[in-house]
Amino acid sequence: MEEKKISEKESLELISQMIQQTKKDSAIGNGNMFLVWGYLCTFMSLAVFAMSQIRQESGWGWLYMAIPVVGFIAAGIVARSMKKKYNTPSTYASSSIGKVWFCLSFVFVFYAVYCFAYWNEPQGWTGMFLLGLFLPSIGTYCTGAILNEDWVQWCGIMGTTIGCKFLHEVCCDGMHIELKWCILMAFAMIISLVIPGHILNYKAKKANAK
Amino acid sequence: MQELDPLLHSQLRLAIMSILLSVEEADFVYLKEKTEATAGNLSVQLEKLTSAGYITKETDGSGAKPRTICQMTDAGREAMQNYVEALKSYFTGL
Repeated sequence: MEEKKISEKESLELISQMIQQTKKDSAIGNGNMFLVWGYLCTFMSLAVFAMSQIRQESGWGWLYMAIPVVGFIAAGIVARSMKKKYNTPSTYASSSIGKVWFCLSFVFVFYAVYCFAYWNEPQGWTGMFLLGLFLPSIGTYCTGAILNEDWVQWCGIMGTTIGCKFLHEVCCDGMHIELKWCILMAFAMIISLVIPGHILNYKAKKANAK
Repeated sequence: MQELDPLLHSQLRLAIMSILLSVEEADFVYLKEKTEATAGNLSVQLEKLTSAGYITKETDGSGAKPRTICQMTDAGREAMQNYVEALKSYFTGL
């Protein structure tokens, strides 16, 4: 493009073309973070379940503590490579989504710190499980709402219903984690993170192929 | 018919403003890639838009290479709104 005068019709076309192009570009890789955290949480839940079954020891639950460490490193690497490869612009939507997930992560981290501070009350860790079921689903719903993606919103709602089932059991049966919850956690992560991640990436790929 | 803002009624500057209208911020490399303009020409046009107060330019030196990040100002947003309103007047009655 150059600095040249254009007709009124060309002006309108140019504005529309640039806005559409930016919209497509900003959608690239929208689902990557969902996939990183979703697959990681699913894998860890299944690993805790499998190891506890094989070795018959309860300590394998601590494997969950690897999720934030591995997750933040992997998310950082993915974000860096995406920035290098595609150079997508920062939009108001991406910035709002970032703030929603920051808030949810903060709640999670703050509760973990709380649990460590009250080390002699191990039943408090059940709350981590509860947050792990609810927060990603809420984040997914908000992301879907901001991006106006109905299926992503539905995945968030379905994830929350699984969380409600767990909440009900905790309220009725007391604060103890059963091994079956690891399987439910893996299932919830597939619904609330993995599927939305693939939906978002598929839609971005389809839009950019046009 | 309303008069079109001469600063915006140019292919490259209008393309820059249209991109910045739909994003929070965009860097120089992205703008260059999307507008397919030369670095020199793009710099000149960005300078004109900055002088008019339509955009702001900041250099981010936190990475390995410094990045020039552009953002639209409220004045720029208003100018774009007026420009589109003026454009509409050319098409009324068609």
